[in-house]
Amino acid sequence: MGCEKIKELILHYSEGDLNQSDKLEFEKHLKECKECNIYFEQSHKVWNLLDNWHTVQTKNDFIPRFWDRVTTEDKKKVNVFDFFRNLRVNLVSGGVGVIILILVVFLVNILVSHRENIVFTEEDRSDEELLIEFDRSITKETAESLEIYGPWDVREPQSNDEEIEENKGG
Amino acid sequence: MQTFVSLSRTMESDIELMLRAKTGDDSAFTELMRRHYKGVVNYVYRFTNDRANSEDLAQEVFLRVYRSVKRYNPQAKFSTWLYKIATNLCITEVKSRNKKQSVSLDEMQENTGDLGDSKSEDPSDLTFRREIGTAIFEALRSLPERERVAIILCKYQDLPYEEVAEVIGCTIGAVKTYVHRGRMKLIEKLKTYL
Repeated sequence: MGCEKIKELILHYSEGDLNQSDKLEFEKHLKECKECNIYFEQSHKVWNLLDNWHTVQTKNDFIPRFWDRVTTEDKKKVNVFDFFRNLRVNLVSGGVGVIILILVVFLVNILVSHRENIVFTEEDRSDEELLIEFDRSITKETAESLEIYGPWDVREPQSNDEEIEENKGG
Repeated sequence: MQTFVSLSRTMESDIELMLRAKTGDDSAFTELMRRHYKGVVNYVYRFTNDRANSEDLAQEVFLRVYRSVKRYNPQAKFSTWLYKIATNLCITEVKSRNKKQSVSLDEMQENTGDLGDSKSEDPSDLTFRREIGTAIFEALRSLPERERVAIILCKYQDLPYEEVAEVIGCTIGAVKTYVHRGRMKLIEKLKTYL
């Protein structure tokens, strides 16, 4: 066995993983090779040196603090769920409210426009009556003022052809 | 009768406690925490060398375990599962710390060491302990991730190779190789203390 192989087998030797022949060869090499012997010792020393890094002592309230943390986080979680649950309820109620509002506006609009039409028609009728009366009075006045030129021809208007024939005959 | 019940409760295995916790029994989870929290706090401490935050991180580990208790598979040993979660969290934390570099050297020195009665100790001993602690931490930190995890779990958490293999997700032989390689590297890095 070479030195590299021996270095690789240090852990296996320490763990008792080597078979009898390998174990004997390993031990023989360590006796003969100073470098490997030092390396083997250092391997154990470094492992023991790690014990000098002491453990930390924990506080006694670790477990109560843990449950406090769980409670706090659960509350937060519940609040988030509440928000979404409320959001859903709010969205539904808001939607219903908007639909109702639209319907109300629509109905009011229809009713108002219908009412406006009735008012317009009545006003229009009275206006029309006034206009007709005014027209009649104007017509009457005009006819009277034109009487100086002879009787007012009240015949129905004729077509151009009839007028031409009448003129020819006349 | 009460004594018998309490005795049988203390004899309950971690798996039995987890199965009870799975049904919503918080007292079972408290018992599990009582058994393992010191180990987890120290495990986190080996990764961060920051005693002030070790308990907070350990609480985070247990919180993750608590939240995922429903997914616990009784085939796996509880401690394996626990240290798997702790390892993932520690690696993430170390990576984020390396990025931020938020903890100054002074702050680190301040947070290094145990929470024991340091007033009653010899100041030179305390200084040496802090120095050696920081040296070991730095030496371990310089190792590749798997070697570091393998050494911490074997050396400080006393986990058998089989369990370490499960935590890391490799074979037992590979764990031994990681430990061996790490150990050889530590000889070089801690030569002055040997």
